[in-house]
Amino acid sequence: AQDKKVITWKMQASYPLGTTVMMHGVEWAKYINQLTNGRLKVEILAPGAMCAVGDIVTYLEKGVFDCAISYGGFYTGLIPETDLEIGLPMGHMTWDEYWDAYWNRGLGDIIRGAYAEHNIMQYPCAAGCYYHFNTNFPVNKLSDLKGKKIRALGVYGKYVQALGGSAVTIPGGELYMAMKLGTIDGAIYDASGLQDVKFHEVVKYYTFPTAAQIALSLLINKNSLAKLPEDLRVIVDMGTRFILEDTGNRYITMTKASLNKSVAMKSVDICTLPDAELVKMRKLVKPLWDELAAKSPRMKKGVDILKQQMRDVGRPID
Amino acid sequence: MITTILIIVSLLALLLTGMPVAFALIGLSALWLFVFQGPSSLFMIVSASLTQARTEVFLAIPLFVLMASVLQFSGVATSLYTTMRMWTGRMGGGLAIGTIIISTLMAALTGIGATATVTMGLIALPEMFKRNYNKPMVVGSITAGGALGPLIPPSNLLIIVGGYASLSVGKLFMGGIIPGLLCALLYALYIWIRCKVNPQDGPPLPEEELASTKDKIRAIPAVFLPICLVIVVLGGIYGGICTPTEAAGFGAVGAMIIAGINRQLNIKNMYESFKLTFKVTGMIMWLVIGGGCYSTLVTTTGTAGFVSEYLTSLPFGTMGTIWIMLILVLILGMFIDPVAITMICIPVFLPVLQSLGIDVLWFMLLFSLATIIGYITPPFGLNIFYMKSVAPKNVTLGDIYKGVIPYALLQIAVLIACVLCPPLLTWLPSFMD
Amino acid sequence: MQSYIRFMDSLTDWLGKIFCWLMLPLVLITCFEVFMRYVMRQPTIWAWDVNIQIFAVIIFLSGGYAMRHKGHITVDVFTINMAPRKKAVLSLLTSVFFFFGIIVLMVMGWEMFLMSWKVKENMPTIWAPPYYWMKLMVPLGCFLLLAQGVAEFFKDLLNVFSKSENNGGN
Ligand code: NA
Ligand code: NA
Repeated sequence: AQDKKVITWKMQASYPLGTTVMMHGVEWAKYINQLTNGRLKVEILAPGAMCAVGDIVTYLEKGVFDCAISYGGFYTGLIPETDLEIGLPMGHMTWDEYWDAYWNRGLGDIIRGAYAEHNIMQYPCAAGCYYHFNTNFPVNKLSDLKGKKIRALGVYGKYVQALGGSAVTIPGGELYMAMKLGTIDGAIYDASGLQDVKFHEVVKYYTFPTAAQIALSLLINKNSLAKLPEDLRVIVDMGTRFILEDTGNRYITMTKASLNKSVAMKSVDICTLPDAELVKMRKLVKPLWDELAAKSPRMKKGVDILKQQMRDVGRPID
Repeated sequence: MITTILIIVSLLALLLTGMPVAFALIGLSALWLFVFQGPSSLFMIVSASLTQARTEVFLAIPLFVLMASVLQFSGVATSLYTTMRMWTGRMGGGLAIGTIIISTLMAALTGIGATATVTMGLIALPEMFKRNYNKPMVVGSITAGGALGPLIPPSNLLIIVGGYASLSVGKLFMGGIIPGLLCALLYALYIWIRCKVNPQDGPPLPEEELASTKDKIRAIPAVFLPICLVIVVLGGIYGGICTPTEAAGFGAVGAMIIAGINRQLNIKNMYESFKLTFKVTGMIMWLVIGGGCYSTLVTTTGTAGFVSEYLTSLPFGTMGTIWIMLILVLILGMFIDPVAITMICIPVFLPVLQSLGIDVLWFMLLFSLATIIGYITPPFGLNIFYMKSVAPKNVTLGDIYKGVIPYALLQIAVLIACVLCPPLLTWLPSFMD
Repeated sequence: MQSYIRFMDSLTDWLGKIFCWLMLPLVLITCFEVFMRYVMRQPTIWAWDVNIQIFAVIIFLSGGYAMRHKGHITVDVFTINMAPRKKAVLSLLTSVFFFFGIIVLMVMGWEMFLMSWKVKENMPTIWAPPYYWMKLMVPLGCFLLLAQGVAEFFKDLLNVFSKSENNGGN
């Protein structure tokens, strides 16, 4: 009898439903419905419908809804480990490096442990593989950034300042105008935005390589998960991990397509920072990593994992 | 279906009891969320409330209110009126036309609907009565002149619309300029023609009271400074030098500078301005909080989806649906406060716009224009009540009702023109792309 | 009842007189930030964070003040010509919705504040100042609004039961 019962979960979106980032949520809901033979339905509500983006973790902890897709950068003041979750600047550069750190090197346990204190189960999914400077001036060496006003959030704001720029925080909705009118000289922004929000019209240069492969999260309230019948719980837990691996790969493909299209339209030029500059940059971000490590023993453990990984892949931070 | 009817009808019924709109919105949202979604959903209204404080562009509201309050205490309105009287007094209906011009200028200096109505009602109305101007004509002109306030930027109403519909407030501001000026022009034309046909409606000032050319020129600085302020504030937004919030900050400082030049910048005036701003901000922002709660209610209970599906399925085509939504707003405007209409309608209308592929900026400007007409349409019109509160005792509510109708019709004509000719609204904002 | 009304009216006025001065830093910080960005080319990381906290204080603490001075917008098209006593009865009845809504907001807001306080939540910004004070404004503002609401409730009661048209206070 229990098999027939249809359970409905509510998901709070943090990006408009049509955008590339929300694909993770939309596709996840579709696959979960199929995998459970229609026994678990997920109703996705538009951003802000049940609570503001910044309140998602708190509200999920309270069980106001069952799950959400969001970006850890909104919760750094609540869960310091979210800085490790989104990816540190000059840290992992590809999704396989992220996957390796998260599932094989123990980074996942640290992030999940932090979320568990809020009664939340966390699953990572890939966001932009190109998350770097979108600018109206070429960035071929570090000194080009000197004094430039770059819009960047959280730890990436500190990254901009470490490199000699000045970090500006303006709301995402104002980005296009601010860039067009020179209120800012650039932004650290995912390349999928070049086509998504027509950012390519106002951006002249995109900087290679990426500052990091960044990640989003699918978050599920642990009680909602525990209340599922045993078989569904396994499907959701295992399913989520691999659905997100799939949507992550698609997201990365789309990000690359967005940049390629913008370059082909001759709307955006690529700048590449040479290796020598990257070595300097890694030196400059080290204090930033150390500052994060000093926050708690758990943060130190996470930063140490990343540092070890960076040594192993030949881009040592220290 | 039943949920939808309960949610909408209960609100309308509660509003008509004369309960403060903000608290009706919050109370009903809490009640229905509890009934339909269970106790844990009550947390939603906390986030809905706190979000308003975190919305950057809403910060422009207290700043624009402060700018208007400081100007109000700095004697700008009086000096504007004296100057305008010198320039337009010779014409038939000149004082009324001058009042429209001042209302337009004040609309460009303030964000709320009532400032021009209240100040002109106190300064200009007594003189026009003394000169035997036609009573309904002048009462209507001052009431309607105030309604230019929320249309011509800056505008708190447009800020709220921008915040709720996720539109650029700068673009909304620019979109309000043409319909605002068009309304002002039509008002002035109407008075001019009426006084040509019936000269006794607006007799010109007697020759001995007209100022000399020298005096006229000497009076110009009084108009010059406010115009500079308008250019700085709107130019700053239009030119992308600053966000609407930052422009509002400069506007407030600019108003203090003008007050200083008029020798009105003292602790007492500042203190009075701050107190007034504190009260008005409380009033607007609690209404916005209530709107946020109600928006959460209609979105999460599926009410917005239900109504918008219904509107989308109407067999009148896209244009027909646009007309229906606008007529709905006009009817609501006869009974409900414009800002409250904004909050009730936007979450319901937005999905309709998306599914019919209607340009959101254009429609939201039309929507705002229609809402603003509600300030002057009987029986419930905020500006009508402000007019009543400042007018001499012999002006009845009936006089004001009679007086505003031609102006409301002119504003509806502008609305129709904007529906038929979208560039009237979208041309100026398009330069900000 | 009378003394409670007098006490609340003057408390609300005093809070208004003090907190309305927050407008001044709000204006100055806004202009300072633009100056730093354009003239010094060195935008601050704190201006916006400070301003929204000030804004939150202004919003939530001004609710009671606006209520005391009859600032909140009402749709009085059907009640404008009603006898004051009838109006007061109607207002007493609808105040149920006011008290329910604001009490819910206060209680839930308090819980949100406690959750934020427990982990000493910071803002997710570069400057990352404490966030919990801002969240405290919701229950605090609601508490003051409720206290003033009780005073207004008493005024309506006095209106209904007193023989003269005395509205019990101001
Ligand atoms: Na205005
Ligand atoms: Na009306």
